[in-house]
Amino acid sequence: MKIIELSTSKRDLLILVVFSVIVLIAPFWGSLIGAGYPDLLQKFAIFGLFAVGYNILFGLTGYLSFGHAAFLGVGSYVAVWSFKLFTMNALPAIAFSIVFSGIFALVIGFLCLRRTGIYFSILTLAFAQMSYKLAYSVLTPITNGETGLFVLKDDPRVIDGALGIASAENPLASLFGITLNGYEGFYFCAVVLILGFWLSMKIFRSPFGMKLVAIKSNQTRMEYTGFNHRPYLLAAFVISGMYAGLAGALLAVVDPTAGAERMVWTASGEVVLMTILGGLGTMFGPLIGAATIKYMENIFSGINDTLLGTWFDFLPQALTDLLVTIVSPFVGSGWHLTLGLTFMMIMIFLPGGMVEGAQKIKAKFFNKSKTEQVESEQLEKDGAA
Amino acid sequence: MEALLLQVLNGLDKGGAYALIALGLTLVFGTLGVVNFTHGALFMLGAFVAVSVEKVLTISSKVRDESITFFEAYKETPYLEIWWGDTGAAIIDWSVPISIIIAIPIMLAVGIAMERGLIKYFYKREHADQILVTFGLAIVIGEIIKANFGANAIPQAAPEVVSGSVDIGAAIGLDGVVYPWWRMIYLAFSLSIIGGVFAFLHMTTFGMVVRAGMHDRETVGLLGINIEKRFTIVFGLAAVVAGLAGVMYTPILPPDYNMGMDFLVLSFLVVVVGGMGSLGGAVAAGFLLGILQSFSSMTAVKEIIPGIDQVIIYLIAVAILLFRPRGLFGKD
Repeated sequence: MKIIELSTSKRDLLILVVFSVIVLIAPFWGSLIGAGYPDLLQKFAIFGLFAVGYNILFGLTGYLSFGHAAFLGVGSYVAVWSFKLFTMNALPAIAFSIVFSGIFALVIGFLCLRRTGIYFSILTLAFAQMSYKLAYSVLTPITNGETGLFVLKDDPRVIDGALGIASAENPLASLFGITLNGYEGFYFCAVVLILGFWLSMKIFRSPFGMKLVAIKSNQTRMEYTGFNHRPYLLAAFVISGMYAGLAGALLAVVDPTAGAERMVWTASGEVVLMTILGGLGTMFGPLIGAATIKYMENIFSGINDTLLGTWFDFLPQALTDLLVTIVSPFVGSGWHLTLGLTFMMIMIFLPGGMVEGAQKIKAKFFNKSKTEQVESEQLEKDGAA
Repeated sequence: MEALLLQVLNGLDKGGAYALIALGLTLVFGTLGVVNFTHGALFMLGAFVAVSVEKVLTISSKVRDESITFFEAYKETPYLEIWWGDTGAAIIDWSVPISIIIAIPIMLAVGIAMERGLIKYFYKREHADQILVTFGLAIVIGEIIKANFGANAIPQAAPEVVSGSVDIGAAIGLDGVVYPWWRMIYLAFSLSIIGGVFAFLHMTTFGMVVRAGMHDRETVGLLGINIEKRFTIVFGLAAVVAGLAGVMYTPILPPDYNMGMDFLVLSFLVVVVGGMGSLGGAVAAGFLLGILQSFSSMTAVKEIIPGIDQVIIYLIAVAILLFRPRGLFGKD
């Protein structure tokens, strides 16, 4: 698996433009696959962003964190508090979330990064579970415990009050007067996602990103060359924590609530699944993985026996029944089973995820893999110069 | 004094479960070098063996209820009761202990199948890969259980004779130390299983070879011993230990498909506190953390540090990992 690709700024710009177009026309291609409604598209964008950020830590440095949902949760809580105390405008909420989750990630990262490998994973897991348990119990005044945190009509909202913006019955997040729900909410998330993707691409192409990959491939050698890896790891950890906080804030923007269940360790596991499923350490992989899992969660879980029956209707009755019996455990409420199995298959046969699969297929048909192609282009250019 | 003793006892049975799961985890890590996130699911699987055994034993048919004479009333009566009367009823009553006998071969088979079918291919991969693939398997096992038994917890009853409580205090001259029989039995059971595993490893030739393999796998292999085969059996053994812990835990905590994940995290912390790969450490840390957890849930303690009962285990594990990463009993 090749993480650092040689690329030119022109090519990067092209990638970014194509990516933006794909994201912005999501309502169109979404409707083709039955996902053309704002709720799901928002989730694509938000969890895509979460996974993109997670990939900066796990994909580049190879440090497997099982606690990133904690940062997502912190981001959500901070955003909702910003809605409650200051204004329903989304921008301050996002800014606060990024800052707070960044500080939180700095503290936790500073402690966790003292250990490597499995010990690092367990430390992050322990910290995340601790945050989750505390959010449920002692921190109830801040988190509102099991009920979750809501935005109410008679919250103070100092800034809105000063500007004379009246409080609605069920306040929704807004952007200078535009209410951010439905497609407006999606486009807001989409723009943030594009910015986040652009930043992640910058990191991938930067010397900083290169150093992170160097730490992944041989940390000991980096140490022996007199390279202090800790600040770089910590920076990667904090950046990915901020991405998670941003994703949490966006969750609160499109639906102004926050609950502790977003922080439980299996929620952290989900972002790991997304990243791996799509393609660890690739720029697009985490996005594809996040979209796949959210698509499965919303579409697969809606498939029931009756619907299956109509799909296989063209077959003889006995065969239809047989197929429905075989397929039904894997859809509907059993979609997690499909997810788990797919994930295991990917881990066993295709550690590079769906992106690696696509590259393999491409290499088979075009006889030349993508990375080789870029390399040869680069060589040609060097030769010309 | 009474309250303290009660807390120690409360901690011991939970600690017994932690110790049993952690023992298997650390055994697998010490021998195969694999970080097994499926271990919690094996515990859960054991619990559901008990559930299934009870289900099978209570397969029933409708029988005319003769105590009601006004009209024809029917009630569900298990076949066992129809065939064997009181003996049958007693068998049903003892379904949890009976499940132990059935769980042993099942869990052994599951463990060996898992090692041969999946884990074997992950020895040479990174720990992160092992964690991830076993995490995926844990999801799959949990979902299979959910599909077959539903998402709700299914309570299991301990046998009638031991379903009450015992006044331990009376024996040593203290008042009000009343403790459920089954928890006492769980403690004794976990101690005997732990003893059994240690005896197996220290008193048999097989165990000696396994311990030698834990120290230096390569040399043992060079001596012409098929260490891989033995390690497979060790994996099966760890699965049996986790499964039995699960079977016996059902009367204490009604099992649901998710209980494995909860116990997995805690028992990983136990392993870390005890020292990765240290068997004695895992057992000691299991009981230690169990007792500390129940102490921290005392009202007196909670008044001083609110919320400590929720996070004590995590706090200790974090402190150990940061300041003594090889664990309390681990060797360098």
